[in-house]
Amino acid sequence: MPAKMKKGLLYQISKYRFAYFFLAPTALAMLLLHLFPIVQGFWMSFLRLNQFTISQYLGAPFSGFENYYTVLLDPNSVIRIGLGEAVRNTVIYTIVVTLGTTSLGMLVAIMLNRKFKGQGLVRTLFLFPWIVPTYVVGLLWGFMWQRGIGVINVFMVDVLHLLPDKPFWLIGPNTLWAIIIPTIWRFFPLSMLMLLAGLQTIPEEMYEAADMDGATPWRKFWSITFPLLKPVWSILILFGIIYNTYSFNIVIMMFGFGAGFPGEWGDLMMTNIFRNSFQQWNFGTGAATSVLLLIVMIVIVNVWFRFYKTSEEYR
Amino acid sequence: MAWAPSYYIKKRLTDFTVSTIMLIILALSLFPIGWMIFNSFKDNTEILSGRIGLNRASTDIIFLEVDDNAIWVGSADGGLAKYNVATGAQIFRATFKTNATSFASTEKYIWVGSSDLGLFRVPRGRPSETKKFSLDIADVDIAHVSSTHLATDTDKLWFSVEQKRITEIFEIPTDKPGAIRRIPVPGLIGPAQTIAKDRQDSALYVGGDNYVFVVDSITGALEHRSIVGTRSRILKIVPAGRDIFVGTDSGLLVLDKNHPTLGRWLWPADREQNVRVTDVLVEEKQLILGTGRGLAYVPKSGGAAEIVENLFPSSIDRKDTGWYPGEVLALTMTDRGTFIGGTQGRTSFLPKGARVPALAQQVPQGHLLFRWRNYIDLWRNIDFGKYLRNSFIICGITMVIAMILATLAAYALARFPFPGSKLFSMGILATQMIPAIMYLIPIFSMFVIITQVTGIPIKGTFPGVILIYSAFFVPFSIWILRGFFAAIPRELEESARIDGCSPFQVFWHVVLPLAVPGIIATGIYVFLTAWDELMFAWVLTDAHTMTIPVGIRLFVGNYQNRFDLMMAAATVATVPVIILFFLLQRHIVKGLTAGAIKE
Repeated sequence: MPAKMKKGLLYQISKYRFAYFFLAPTALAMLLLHLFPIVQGFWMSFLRLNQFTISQYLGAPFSGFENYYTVLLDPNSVIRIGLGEAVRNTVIYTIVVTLGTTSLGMLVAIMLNRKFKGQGLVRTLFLFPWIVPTYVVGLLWGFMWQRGIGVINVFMVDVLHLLPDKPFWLIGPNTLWAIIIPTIWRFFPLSMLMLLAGLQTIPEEMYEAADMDGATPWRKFWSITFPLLKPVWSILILFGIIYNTYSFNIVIMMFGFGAGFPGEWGDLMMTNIFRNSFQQWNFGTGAATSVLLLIVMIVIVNVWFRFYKTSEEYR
Repeated sequence: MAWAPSYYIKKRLTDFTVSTIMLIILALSLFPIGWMIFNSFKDNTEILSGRIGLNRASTDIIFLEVDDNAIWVGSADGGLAKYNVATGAQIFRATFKTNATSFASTEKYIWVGSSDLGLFRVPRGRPSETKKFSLDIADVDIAHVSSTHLATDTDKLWFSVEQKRITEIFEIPTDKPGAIRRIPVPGLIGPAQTIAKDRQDSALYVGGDNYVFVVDSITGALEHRSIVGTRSRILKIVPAGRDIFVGTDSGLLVLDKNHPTLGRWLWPADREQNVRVTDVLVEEKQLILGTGRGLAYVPKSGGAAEIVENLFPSSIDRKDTGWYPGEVLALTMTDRGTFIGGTQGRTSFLPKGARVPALAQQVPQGHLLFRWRNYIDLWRNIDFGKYLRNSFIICGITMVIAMILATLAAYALARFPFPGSKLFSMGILATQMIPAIMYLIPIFSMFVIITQVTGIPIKGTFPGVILIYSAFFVPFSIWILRGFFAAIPRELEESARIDGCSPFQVFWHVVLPLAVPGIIATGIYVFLTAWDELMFAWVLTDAHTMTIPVGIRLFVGNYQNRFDLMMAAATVATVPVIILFFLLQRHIVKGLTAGAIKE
C-alpha cells in the first residue's frame, strides 16, 4: 500500500469500515466465548466453587486466595500432592515429547529430502500417524502396552527375548514412557512436514560449497541445515511446548479405558485439573490451577520470544 | 594396497543405507495403524489369549452320525462333511463358519445350530438343499456365548444358548423352524450347559447349575431336579431306558429314571486326571465312554474300566503341554465298530473288539478367524452409528460456520491495515496459548445457569457444542487463511475496483473464487481438529448428541477388555479422516507448510 496521508483515527476507522464489518462476527464470538469465559475463569479462581455452591455460579462465596493456597501451599491438601506429581510428569512429558518429535521429524525430513522414486508416496505414508485421532492413539497404544497380551511385550519378550520378564507399562514409572512414545509417534509427522518444507528452501549450492571444503555430513548439518531451519524448529518447539503441556486425550483414553485415573506417573496437568473439576466438582481450585498454568505459559512464551528475537538479531 | 571405493560406490552405499533406515522407520510408524485394523477383525478370545497372529477356527469333531454307508462329521467351526464309510471318499462338505456350533440329527435332516448365524437345516439325502433359519433370540451377545446345544425328537428340536442370564430353552418345530417357543426352566439360574431329549417320553433333560433338571417338554413343568455335584460341568446327558447317563468333567454319573434324586458315580473308580466324559454309547453289558484321555470301556455292573488311549494317528503335534492326544469329543456306533471324533479335526474307526484304529480321516483346517462381526456388533450393540452421525453433524456444521467467520476475518486482516488489526492478530495468537480447560469451566457453568434461568437447554444440544467448537477453531483458521489471502495478487482486486465494484463485490467475485482451495484445506483441517476433540464433547454432550470419542470412552468403560470392539471402534473413527486427508492432502500440506516456508 502506498503511504497515504495520516488523518485522524476516526477517518481511518471509517475508511476501513468494510473490514470492521467483516470482522464483526468473529470479534463478537471471540468476545463472548473467549474473553468473557476467561474473565470469569479468573474470577472463579477466587470463589469457593464446589458441588454445593456450583448452583450459585458467580455468586458463590468469595474466598480470596484460598484456592491458590490449597493448590500451592497447603501441606494437608490432597489436590496439592496430586498436582505436584502432575507437574513433574508434565514437565518431563513436555520436554521429552517436544524434543523427540522435533528431532525425529528432522531425521525423517532429511531422509526424505533426497531424490528417490516414490518420494511423494513415502511422505504421505509418513503423515498417516498424524491423522489418527488422539483419542484413538490413547486407546490403541493402551491396547499395545498391555502387559500379557500387548504386542509390544509379546515382541520384546516372547519373540526377541530382549527382556527376561514382561514389564508393566501402564503401572509405575514406566507409565511416563507409555504416554511419551505414542505422543511422539502421533506428532512427529507434523514436525517432519514443516521441516521438510523448510529444507526444500535451502539452496543446493550451499551444500555443494561445503562439499568442496570437505565437510562431513555431520558438520554440514550443524553448520548449514540446523541454523537455516531455525525459524521452523523454533516455532515447532514453541507450539510443541504449548500443545504438549495441554495434552489430554491420549492420557485420558489410555488408562482404565477412558475413565480411570492414570496413576501418579501418568497424570498430567490437564487430566488432573479435569478430574478435580468435573469428577470431584472442585471448580474453584480447577480454575485457580488453570490460571497458574496460564501464567507459567505466558512466561515460557515470553522467554521463547526473547530467544527468537535475539537469535534473529545475530543473523 | 587398501581397496578404496570410488565416490559413486560410496554415494550409492550411503543412499541405500539411508533408504533402508527410512523404510524401517516408516514400517514402524505405520505398524500401530495396521495393528489396529488387523485386530478389529479378530476374535476377542484370540486377542485375550495373547496369540498375535491370525488363527484358524477350531475343527474339533463334535458330531458324528452314521447314515447307511456314510458318516456325517461335524466340526466346531461349523464344518459338516459326509464321507463314504467303505472308501473314505468325501460325498459332501460345507463350512458354515459358525460360532459356538452345535449339531443334532433327525430322521430327514442334520441340524447345525450357532450363536451368530442361526440354524442350518441340511437334508440327509440332498445336502445341497441346505436352508438357513435365523433364530431371533433377544439378549444373545455372541461374544459371551460359550456354546450352544441342540436336542431332537422326531418332529421338534430344542435349542439352548450358554450365556449368562439366558435360562430358557427354545423349542423349534422341525417343519417350521421360524416358530420358536420359549420354555423357561424353573429353578435354573445359570445357563443350560447341555440338553437332551428322551425319545420314549416327553422328558427334556437340562444340565446346569450342578443339577440335571427334568422338564416336561409339553407342559414345561419341572418334574425332578437331581444334584450332580458341586463344580461339575455337565457335558452330555444320554437317556437310555431306565438309566440316565450324565457325562461331566469329573466323570460319569448314572441316574435312575424312577428315583432320580440321587445318582451313582460309575466312572472313574479312582481319582484320576482328565476324566471328562464327552459322550456315552450304551451297549448291552458295557458302556463306551468318550473321555478326555481316550475311549473307556466301563462294565455296566461296575468294575475296572479299560481305557484305549492310542486312537488317532500321531500326524498332528501340539506343542501345548498337558495335552492328551487321545481326547475324544464325539462317538457313534454301528454293528461293526465305533467311530471316534477327536480334537484337531481327527476322526477314526475302531472295529469291534479291536484296540487299534482301522481307519482315520482328517477334516480340513478351519477357516481363518477373520471376521466382520465386530463391526456389526459395534452398530447393533453399542449404537456406534449414532455417534458417527453426531460426529459428522457437529464437525460438518462447525466446519461451515468456522470457515464463514474465518474467511471474512482473514480477508479483512490480510488486506486492510485498519486500526486495531495488530491487536486483533495478537489476540488470535494469544487464544492458542490459553488452556482449553480454562474456558471449559466457565462455559460449563454458564450453560447450566442459562438453562436454569431461561429454561432453554444448551448443554447437551447440537447448537451448544457447535457454537463452542466454531468459536474455538476460528482463530487458528484465520491464522492459516490469512496466508492464502495474502498470496492472492492485489492487482486483480484493484482493477476490479477501478471497474466500479464495491468492496463486497470485489471480495465475492474476485477474491473468494481464488481462495477456495485454501478455504477447503483449512476447512478440512478444522474438521479433523473437531473430530479429534474430546474434552469439551465429554462435558457438553449428552446421550443423544454424544460424539465418537465420548461414545468410545463410555463403551470401553462398560465393555472391559473387549479389545476387538475397541479396535473396530478405533478403526471406524480413523478411516473417515484418513480418506478425507488422502483426498485433499495436497491442499492441506500446502496450507500447513505455507507458514514454514514464508519468507
